[in-house]
Amino acid sequence: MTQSDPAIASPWVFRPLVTWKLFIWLFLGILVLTWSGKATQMDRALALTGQALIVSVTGKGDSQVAKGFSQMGRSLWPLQLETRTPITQIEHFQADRLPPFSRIEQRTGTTQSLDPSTGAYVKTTQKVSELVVPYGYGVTVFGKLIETLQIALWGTILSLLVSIPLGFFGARNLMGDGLVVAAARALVSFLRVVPELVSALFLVVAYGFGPIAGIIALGLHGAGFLGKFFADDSENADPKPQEALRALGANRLKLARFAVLPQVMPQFTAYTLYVLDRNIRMATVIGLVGAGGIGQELKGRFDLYAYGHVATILIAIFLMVLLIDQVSAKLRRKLL
Amino acid sequence: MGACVTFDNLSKVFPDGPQALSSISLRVEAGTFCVLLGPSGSGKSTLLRCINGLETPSGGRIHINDVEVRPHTLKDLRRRIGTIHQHFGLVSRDTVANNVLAGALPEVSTWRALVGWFPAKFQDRVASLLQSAGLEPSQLNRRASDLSGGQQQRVGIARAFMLSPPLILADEPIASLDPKLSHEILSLIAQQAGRVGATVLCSLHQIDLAKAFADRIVALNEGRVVFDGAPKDLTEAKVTQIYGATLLESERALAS
Repeated sequence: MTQSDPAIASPWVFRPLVTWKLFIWLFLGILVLTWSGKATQMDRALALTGQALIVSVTGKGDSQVAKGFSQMGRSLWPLQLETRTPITQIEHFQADRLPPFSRIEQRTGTTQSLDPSTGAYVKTTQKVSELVVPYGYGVTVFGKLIETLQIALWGTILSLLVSIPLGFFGARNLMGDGLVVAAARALVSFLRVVPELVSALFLVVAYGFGPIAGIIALGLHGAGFLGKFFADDSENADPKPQEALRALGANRLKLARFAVLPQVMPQFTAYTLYVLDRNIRMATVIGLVGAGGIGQELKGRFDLYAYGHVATILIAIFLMVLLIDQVSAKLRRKLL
Repeated sequence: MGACVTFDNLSKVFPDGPQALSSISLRVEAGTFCVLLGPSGSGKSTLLRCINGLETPSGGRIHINDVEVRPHTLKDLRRRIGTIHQHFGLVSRDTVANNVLAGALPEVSTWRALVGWFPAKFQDRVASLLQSAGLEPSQLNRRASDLSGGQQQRVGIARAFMLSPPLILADEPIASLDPKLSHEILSLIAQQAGRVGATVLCSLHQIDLAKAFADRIVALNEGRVVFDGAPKDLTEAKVTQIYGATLLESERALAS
């Protein structure tokens, strides 16, 4: 019998790598992407960006995008670092005890006021003494950054406090397969699907502007993440020690503490660090809706068209995130 | 004093499998070292797991002394049963100390357990158990996974004896150990049980070791008792009957 005998089919059947099915799916995929690209103006984005690139390289022609970018760049520069405060607005001002490197400048200011007797606007010109602190705004921004970090820290603490019990009640290996697990898992999912920015919007209405709304928003969203991770890790932990302790007569809490926690501690730590990391980034964003921190300052300055201040804030945020990345990488290496 | 275990018409059927145990009736007297023999899948593990409630029997009863094994009596019974597991059942990332202390958990209040604050008498107990198991003091705070297999099983035995239980269940405690270690581990179990007169129910695969340690041998095959008697009564013919012809055939094949 020869090898090429067609009467005997080889039992070693290889599956073809490329089939007609693949081409059909590729074709359908391209169809969907074409339609969706049209809907999201991806073609226009490509054209505008290309035009801007050509204009900025050749220097000829006119581009809406290039103009927009250069206008933005010009308005961001120079950075605004100093603060100017009229002396009359400073309580207990002492001319001989100025902050270091500060000076007092005279400025002629014009104020407009309504004359109640005539009903007309009256312009009055007067000399105003201002205290100029050349680094004053830097100090303000630094304070806001510290506030942002604290919002992130307390948001993480809150999410730990909420997620540890939720993780326990959501773990099937500890609670069995019942209503408690389903309820805990549903709550965790709910917390996870509500974006921080949305819950912060509502919380600002309830708690007012400031860090409280931010902390609660971050804490609840983070609890949605951690609660799921904690429950899943617990379920994936080695079941043998759990069975051993169950056979001894240990209750659920003792089981969680002695058979599960030691096994999952490294993952728990990693997830908590991740949530802290994420909270620091998100804490700058949720400030935009008034939930405290550097974001609130950014939004305020942006609305006042104070782009010099905005530039200072953006650079400060960039530096902070860079620093936090380094620190958290070090921390991760040390703890895990 | 040891506990006396009575099986009364015990049977167990797994939903998706064959009958694991069918109508087992046995009485294991207090203080006996009883070895369970039988091929894999003969129901040894299931029998042991029914005693401490890790499996629920489909029919029949188990009594420990005069207390029936039921869901509501389990909590109390389990603290008087020490279990030694085939794969040790240790938390590999946790310390040796914590693994053994876990054996005292039923006697420690939940709040003390959560913060890991065990009464001093349990720490003394851990030290003396580990010492008689042949572990070094320097190994107390090592991770369980850093120890060798034999040492891990010694830790597992220390945990099982933590509360001096009158009944010890050992499910193939030497399955992954070499012959010399196997002998040492079984000696340790027998010696520790002997101190308090505890009853031992131990499943094994090694017939020579069973004969060396057992007061009584019970053999199972396909969920039925096929031999029950003193070690000296376990003849070659009986072994063939227990394991079927396959065992002897493969042994002969190895010999030739």
